[in-house]
Amino acid sequence: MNTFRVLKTAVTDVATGSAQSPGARIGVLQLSKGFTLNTPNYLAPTSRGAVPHLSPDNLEKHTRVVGVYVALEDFIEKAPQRTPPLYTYPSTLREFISLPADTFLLLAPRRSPAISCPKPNSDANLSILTSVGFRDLPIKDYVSAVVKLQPDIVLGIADVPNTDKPVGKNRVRKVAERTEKWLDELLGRIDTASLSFNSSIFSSFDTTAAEGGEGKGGEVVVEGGETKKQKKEGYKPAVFAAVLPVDKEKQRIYINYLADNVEKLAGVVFTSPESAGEMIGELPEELEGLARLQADVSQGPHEVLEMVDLGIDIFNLSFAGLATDAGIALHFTFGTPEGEKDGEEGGVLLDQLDLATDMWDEKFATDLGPLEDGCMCYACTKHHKAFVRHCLSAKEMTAWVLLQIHNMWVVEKFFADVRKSIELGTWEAEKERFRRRYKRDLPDRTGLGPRLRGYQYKSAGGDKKLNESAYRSLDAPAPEEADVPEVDGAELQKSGFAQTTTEY
Amino acid sequence: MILPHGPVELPMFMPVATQASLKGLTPEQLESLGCRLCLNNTYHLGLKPGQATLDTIGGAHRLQSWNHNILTDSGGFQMVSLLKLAKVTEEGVKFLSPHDGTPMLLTPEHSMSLQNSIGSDIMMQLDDVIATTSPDNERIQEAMHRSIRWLDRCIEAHKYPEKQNLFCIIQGGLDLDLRRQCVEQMVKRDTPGIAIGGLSGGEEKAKYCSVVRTCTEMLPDMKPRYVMGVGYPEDLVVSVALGADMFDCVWPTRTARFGNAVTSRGTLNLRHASYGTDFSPVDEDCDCLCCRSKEAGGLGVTKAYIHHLTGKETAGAHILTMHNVHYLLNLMRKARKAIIADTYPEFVKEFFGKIYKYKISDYPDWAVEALKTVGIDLQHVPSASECT
Ligand SMILES: [Zn+2]
Ligand SMILES: [Zn+2]
Repeated sequence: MNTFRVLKTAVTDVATGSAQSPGARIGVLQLSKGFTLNTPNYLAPTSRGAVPHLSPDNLEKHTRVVGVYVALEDFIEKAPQRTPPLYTYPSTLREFISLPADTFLLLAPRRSPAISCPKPNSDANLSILTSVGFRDLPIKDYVSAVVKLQPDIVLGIADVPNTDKPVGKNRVRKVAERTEKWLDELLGRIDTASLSFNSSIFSSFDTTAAEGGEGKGGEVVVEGGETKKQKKEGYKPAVFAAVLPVDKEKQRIYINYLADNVEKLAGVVFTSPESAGEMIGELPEELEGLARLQADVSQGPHEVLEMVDLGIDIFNLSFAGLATDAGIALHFTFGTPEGEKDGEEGGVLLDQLDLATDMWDEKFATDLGPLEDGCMCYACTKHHKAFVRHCLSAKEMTAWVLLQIHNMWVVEKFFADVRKSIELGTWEAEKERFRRRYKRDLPDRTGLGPRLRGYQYKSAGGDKKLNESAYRSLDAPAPEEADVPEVDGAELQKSGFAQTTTEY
Repeated sequence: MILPHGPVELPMFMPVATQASLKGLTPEQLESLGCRLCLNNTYHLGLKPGQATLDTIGGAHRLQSWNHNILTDSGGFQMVSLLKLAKVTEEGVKFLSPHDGTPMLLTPEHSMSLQNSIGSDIMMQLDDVIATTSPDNERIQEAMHRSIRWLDRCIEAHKYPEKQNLFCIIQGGLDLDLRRQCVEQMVKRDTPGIAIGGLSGGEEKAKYCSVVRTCTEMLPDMKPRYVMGVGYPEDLVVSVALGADMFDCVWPTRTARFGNAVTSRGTLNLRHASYGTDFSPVDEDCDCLCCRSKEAGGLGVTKAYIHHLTGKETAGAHILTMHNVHYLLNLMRKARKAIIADTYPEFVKEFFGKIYKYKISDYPDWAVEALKTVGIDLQHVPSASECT
């Protein structure tokens, strides 16, 4: 059984006594394999099944990532012409990518944000980008893949325009129709398959395990001697249906369909930041109790807070990874530190704080302090700014490993503090404090990122040539192996490595 | 061997963390593989972060938060091999700064000073490196003698002999007489360890083996012998038989990024399409974190997943780097066990047997011949009675 329960809302409509109006809320999402996600919370986007820069052991040991967002387009290469290896793998997708046991897996057809495709979707196919180029993903293949791969959460396919062209008037109606048809196919198939998934249904979950204190936000709930293995028998993927980025009138029939089938759904997903704002208050009452996922969060913590305020529960968070690639260490805290009074200290108005610091800065070359004072992550407790800055400047991959560990940690703590403030009733004040206390934007990127790979390269390059290989070869000599120093003689002399000489 | 940052067991393989980091692994991961001595390159650390920064931070251990041992090279080899314009004079290595063309000079004193700043547990003398394949005998002879003179200058310039171990480097090309002369002279200097240099090039394997054997025969028993720049598993196993103790090579870590897995059945290129559907561990005989099943507390990584990631996500390279380093560290741990148990010949036979599927005709001649000189006969098939 997959269930979502709203535990508390920050804004309660006093007149009706119900939680009608959108607003920040805390909840708990329970998934059938025993995973628990306390919301608001985040998912880590993956690339080819890996959280960028993190081997599975680092992911497990040094982050508290509760769930990952995995795109099927990362695995199917030349399908349907050639059967992808994953489909012949004898186990599930989570096994294939060596996902840690206490992390759940969300499967989406495409990454989010997704790269535009040159060809629009058709009635039976979604346009996607795999490592070998632009392809068609037959809807029926996605539906079968879900049964085979056994994700914990699956997103319904939205017929959102995959191309850069704006949706024409005639297309809009079709968008809703197709999305409904595709979702219906998915729900039908899961219904049939669930007979084989489930030999028995489990419903009793420990709902008191809300805040896990030191533990991961979503530890596997094991209660009363009931083991995780037994729970697996109650498996059924949680379905999140797309809410479309089109006018509410244009998707009224589709939304009604969702309301009619609400017992088959665990959540809704907003595919664009704008659509959440426009649609969240327009959803019928029946859908109130579903978890709400925002699939594309790239701006920063202010954007997250605004969306928490709208009532979004789960965020597929790309900005932490973007900061990591840029060599930027995040350091923002939600909640007033002791002694600080609303941006003032001793009556003096404080300057707005930076959300993050560019670690390429030369001033950190000998700084033995942690990336963020007081941070308890592996990078901060075992290493220092000078090492991260050295690895960045030497283009050693370890730089991005350490930054990713730290940035994930900061984000994890941020969400835990957001949940706490809603619980304690300090949400409004703290949200306001954060808004005023921190600058709006993350620092600009100055250094070079890690060598661009695949999807990142594609999104940066924006090349839309049909069927061009999406992945740049890594075989070309890498900067770290070019081995030619980029310093002049004076610098060499200063470095003590050698002295200048007059004769040669 | 007892070193300032703890004891290490010989024979051993030393992974190369060129710029104070090992190809995306954290020092913690490297430690978990059982590594207790890794390499840093003086040339690279001298450029980034530079001597002043190293002095302020307090050395390379502090820089990379590595509480185990570090070995550094002299910086000379990189200079000569990477900068085509380097010229060697009695004073030192002269080269043009690759950035602005300023003429520069690297002396034994510079090298020592920088390695003192790095704080490595084992430092290497600056030597006059000549490719063993050089046809110029006179130049090879000159380089050998100069290396001895530079050793004296290094010993003189070394600031902390009580806390950093300076190793000499035996030169002399493929000329066994020159090698003998060099050994004789250098052993007199009584450095805590001895390296055999100039052998990572393209020399014939048979000649490589005879140089190693010639040197090890003359070297004192109780000092570690380090063969520089050697890292293919077969080279290691044979060199250990010939009496060498320490090895380093960038190959196992550098090659991981291209999907090459070093395994007990040889090197596999996991980029090959056939591995896309191979759901077995990278090496079935391996008990590293990556190869162990989830049930056994490992990651349960398959060849297919590495194939899926290689060249596209660095996490794939990180995983394979861990496996490759583990493989070589473990190969030497197993060699040590076999030596202690007096079963090294059996160990060598099993090692070659697995790689070549026991097809004796496929065994490399140089290895067969070299091993014969120390009484290990790879071609000898035990009879049924011997087996029981
Ligand atoms: Zn940290
Ligand atoms: Zn392994």
